[in-house]
Amino acid sequence: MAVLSPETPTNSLLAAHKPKRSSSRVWKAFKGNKKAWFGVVTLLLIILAAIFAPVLTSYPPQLIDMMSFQVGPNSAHPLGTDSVGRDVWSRLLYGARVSLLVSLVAVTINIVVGSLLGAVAGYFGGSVDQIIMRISDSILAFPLLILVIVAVAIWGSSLLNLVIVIGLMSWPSTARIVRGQVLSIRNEDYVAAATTIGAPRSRIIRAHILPNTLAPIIVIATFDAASIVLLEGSLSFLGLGVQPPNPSWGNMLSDAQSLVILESMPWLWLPPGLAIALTVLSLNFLGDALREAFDPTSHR
Amino acid sequence: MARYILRRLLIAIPTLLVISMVTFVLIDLMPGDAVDMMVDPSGSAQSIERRREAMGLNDPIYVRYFYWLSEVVKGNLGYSAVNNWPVADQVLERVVPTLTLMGTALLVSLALAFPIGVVSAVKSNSRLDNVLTVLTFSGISLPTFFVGLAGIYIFAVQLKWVPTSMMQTPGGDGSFLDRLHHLVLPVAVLAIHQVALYMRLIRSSVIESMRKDYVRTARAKGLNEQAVVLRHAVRNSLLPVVSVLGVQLPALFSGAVVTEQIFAWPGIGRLLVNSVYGRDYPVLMAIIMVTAVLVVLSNLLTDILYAAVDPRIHY
Repeated sequence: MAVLSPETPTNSLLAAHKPKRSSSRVWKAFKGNKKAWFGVVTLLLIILAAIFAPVLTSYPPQLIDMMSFQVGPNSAHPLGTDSVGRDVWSRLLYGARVSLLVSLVAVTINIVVGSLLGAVAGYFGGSVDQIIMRISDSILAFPLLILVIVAVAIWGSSLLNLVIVIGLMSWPSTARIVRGQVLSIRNEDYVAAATTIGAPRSRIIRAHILPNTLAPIIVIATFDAASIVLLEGSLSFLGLGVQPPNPSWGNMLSDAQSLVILESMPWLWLPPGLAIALTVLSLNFLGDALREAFDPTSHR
Repeated sequence: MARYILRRLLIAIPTLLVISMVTFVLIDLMPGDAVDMMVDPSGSAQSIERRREAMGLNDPIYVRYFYWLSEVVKGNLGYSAVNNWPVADQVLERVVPTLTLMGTALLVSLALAFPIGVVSAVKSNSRLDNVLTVLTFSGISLPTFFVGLAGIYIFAVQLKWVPTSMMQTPGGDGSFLDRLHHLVLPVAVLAIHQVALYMRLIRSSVIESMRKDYVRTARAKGLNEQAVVLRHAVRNSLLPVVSVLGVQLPALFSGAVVTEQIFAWPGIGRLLVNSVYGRDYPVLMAIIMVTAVLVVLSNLLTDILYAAVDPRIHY
C-alpha cells in the first residue's frame, strides 16, 4: 500500500487518477475517426516538408534566375519558376515555414491572452467581467480582415507585427468560450466542496478550473490555427501581409490576379492554393475530431 | 417596437463616437501621410511643408478631430487626399455594390444551407451525412482567393460561361441581365464558405433540438415524421441560427473584401485596399465609419429578427 505523505491529500490522488481514465476515453474516440487521421498525417507531412525544406530543394527561395522566368515545370524546376525567375517548389516549401510559423505564434498569443482574460472575467465577474466582455464584443463586431488590414497599415507588415496584430485581434472568441466554461465550472459541486474545505483560491483555479478548461482551449486553438492560416493567406494575397521577396503561400497567389498568368501558368497559383486548402482542411478535421473526442455526450 | 429601435439607434451614437475617436488617433499614428505619397521627394522640404500646412495636417490632433466631426455631421466626409474627390460620394457609390454582393451571397447560402442542413441532421451519421460533412469542411477550408481564381479559370476562361470580372460590361448598357451575369461567379465564390458554415450550424442545431422532450412528445402523440421535423425540431432550432447569423456577418464582409479584389468589383473592400496602398486617410477613416454603421445596423436587424423568431421575446 502506498504511503500517503501529508502533502498529498487524497483528493489530489483521485484527481490524478481521473485524467488517465478520461484521456483513454478521449483516445478511444479519436482513434476510430478517419478524418482525424487524415488531418494528423497531412499536417505531419506539411510540417516535415517545412522543416526539411533545405533537403527537399537545392534552390534558395529568394534566388532569382534571370535566364529562366515563368518557365513551366521541368527537370530542373519541378514546379517551374515565377515571374522573376524564382523556383516555385522552393518557395512553396519555405512558404510553409512562414505560413505555419505565423499561424503558430499568432495562435499562441491568441490563446494566452484569450484564456487569461476569459478566465479572469468568468472567475471574478462583476465590473472586471463587464469591461473585458465589452472590449471583446467591440472587437468581434468588426470584420477581422478589415481590422487587421487597418492595423497592419498603421504599424507596417513585418512578420513580427503581423503575428502580434493577428494574435491581439483574434483573442475575443477564445475569451468568450473560456469565460463560459469557467462560469459553468465555478458552479459545479466539486468547486463548492473545495471551497467548503477551505482550499485557497489559487488552488481552486489551478486544480479544478484550469484542467477543465483545457479541452475546449485545445479545440479552439486548432480551429483558430486553421482560420489564421486563411487570414494570413488573404492578407498576403492582397499584398498587405508577408512582403516579397519573403515567400508565403498567400503572396505566391497574388501574381495570378493577372489574367495572363491565371490562364497560361497554373503552376504559379495551383500549388500554393492547394497547400493552404490542405493545411486548413487538416486543421479543421483535427479540431472537429478533438471536439467530438472531448465531448462526453457524443457517443458514436 | 418602434421605441425599442429608436432607443437602440440612440445608444449607437456614443458607440460610433468612440469608434471614430479611436480610429482617428490610430490613423494619426500611421507613418507618413498623403503628402509623402504624392509630392516629388526631390522637391524642397519647404514646399512639402507648405503643402502640409495648406492641408491642415500640422494642426494638433483634437483640432483636426473636431473639425472632421463637425463636417461629418453636415454630411461632408472630407476630400480624398489622393484625387481630391469628395469622400462621401466615393464611399456611398461603393456601398451599393458591396451590399448587393453580400446580400445576394447571404440569401443564396441560406437558401442552400437550410435544406442541406436539415437533411444532414435528420439522417445524421448516415453515408449521405458523412459525404455532406466532408464537403462542408472543404467549403470552410478553401481560401476565398483560391476559389475565386479557380472559378475564374474554370468558368470564365475555359468554359466562357461568365465574365472574368467587373460589375457590368464596360461600355455596355448595364441592363439587369448583364449585371446578373456578372454577379453569378462572385456570389458563388462568396457563398461557398457561407453555405458550409450555415449548414454545419443548422445541422448541429437541429440535432440538438431533435433530442428535446417536445420532439419526443410530438412523436408520442403520433405525428408523422415530417411534421415532427419541420414543425417542431426545425422551428425551434432557428433561434441559435439567427443569433450566430449576426455574429457571422462581419466574416461575410471580410470575404467580400477579397472577392471584390479578385473580381475588380467596385465595392467598399476594393476601395479599402486601395486607400491603404495610397495612404488615403480621409477615405480610410470614412470606410471604417461606414463599416461601423453597417455593423450597428446589422446587429439591430439580428435582434429584431430574433424577436420575430422567438415568440417569448417582447420589446
